[in-house]
Amino acid sequence: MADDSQDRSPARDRDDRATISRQAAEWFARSLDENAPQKDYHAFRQWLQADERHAQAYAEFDRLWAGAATVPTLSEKPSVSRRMALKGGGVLAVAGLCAWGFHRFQQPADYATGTGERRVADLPDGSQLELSAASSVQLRFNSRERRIVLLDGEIYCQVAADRQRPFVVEAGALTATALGTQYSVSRMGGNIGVAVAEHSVSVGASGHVVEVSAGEAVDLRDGTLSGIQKEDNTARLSWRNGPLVFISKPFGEVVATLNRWRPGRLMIADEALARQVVTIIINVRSPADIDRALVQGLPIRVANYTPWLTLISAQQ
Amino acid sequence: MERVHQDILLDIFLSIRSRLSATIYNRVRCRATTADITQDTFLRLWERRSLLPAATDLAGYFVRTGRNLAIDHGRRQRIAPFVHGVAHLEMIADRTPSPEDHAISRREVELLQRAIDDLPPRARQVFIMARLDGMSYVEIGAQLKISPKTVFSHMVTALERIKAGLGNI
Repeated sequence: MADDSQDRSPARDRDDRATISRQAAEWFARSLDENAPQKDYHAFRQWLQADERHAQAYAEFDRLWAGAATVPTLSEKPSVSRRMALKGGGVLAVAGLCAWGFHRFQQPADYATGTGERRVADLPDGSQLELSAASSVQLRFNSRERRIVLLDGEIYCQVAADRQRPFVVEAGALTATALGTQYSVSRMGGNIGVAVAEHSVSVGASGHVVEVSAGEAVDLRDGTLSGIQKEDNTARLSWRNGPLVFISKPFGEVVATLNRWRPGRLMIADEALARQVVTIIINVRSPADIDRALVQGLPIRVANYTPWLTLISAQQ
Repeated sequence: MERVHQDILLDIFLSIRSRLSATIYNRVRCRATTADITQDTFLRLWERRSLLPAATDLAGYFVRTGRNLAIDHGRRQRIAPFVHGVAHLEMIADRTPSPEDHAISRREVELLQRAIDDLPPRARQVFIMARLDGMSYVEIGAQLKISPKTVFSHMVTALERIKAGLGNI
């Protein structure tokens, strides 16, 4: 096959993209057919492996299709022809679409924890990584640097000295480079944070760099680095050793964090309750402990709708 | 007004929960998967609750959604061995949908609505019958009196046009 990577013009790239997109659409449409013969699947795999862009294009259709899974809202003025097209004459609706946001499994992880699981990993350089619940990282160690990519969740790093290679944690748009030995980096939902326990860490995001010392913390929300917070980091790092401590946090954030420690799902029934600021300590040893702590500590009602879905509402 | 909706949504979920589970179990034949998909069905509708007009037939909505998610699961199982190890397709093997999958904005719903509305009539029919009614190409072909091959090519058209209509989200 001739190597024509030398003569890429924009028009040629556009054509390639259109071709790949059409091929992906065809393969996806074929995958919907449960009667497709086995040999089709093998050809499919070969096509996928031929070029990384093939898999990317196919993934887009998979997401598009997944997003259209829910039966639609009723459209306001269904056209006559659409109504006639439907079996049984029901009114046509439109599909809802899921967010195209970050998918937890978009990249493979080198270390990962599940719900409620904590883990300690020894790194090749002698450093130690603690992972909080529902967390995942990739290791990118080479001769120039020791880089950890935090995909999701929270980690605590105890960094072994190595003058030749800086130790860097990358979490979304933020990097935290060790200037000493002990710190945590968290990436949960849209919130990314660094808390330093020992010595200091250089934190960079969107061109700004700030040095954070022991006992201090900094957060990146919506692309902006917060000011240095000199609050007690004990609350932030409480997950390492025992009950989780939340001090003046919006209840929605508390519940989002708890969902990493508790199988099934806690949901808050109304927005106002989610925005309410709370202070609470929660033992995460078991789901029953978590639910009990919530009910005892806050003016709420907790109702189990299925073994996997628990709804929290304000006490009336 | 929204508050009433939430309670109704929950009540209806509770009342059709066993029918929903049965519909799903019939297709996936696994208790654990049935539980996951039942929950996923509820969560998707819950996240979209402010987009549901009052007149919606919620019970039917739940059951159809659950059925379609179960069909999706079957499809992913079928192709999982063939996408094993391929970068960018890890989510096909991933059984549990993540919370990020459920969030939806009004804007995204509008874009998708328009993209489907703008489809050529046959492509739109095929897409709707496959995606919302869970029909196979053979069934669609029988209904519309066209060959499964023609159904397939309408589906390809629909997919490409919807994707183009969504632009760069």
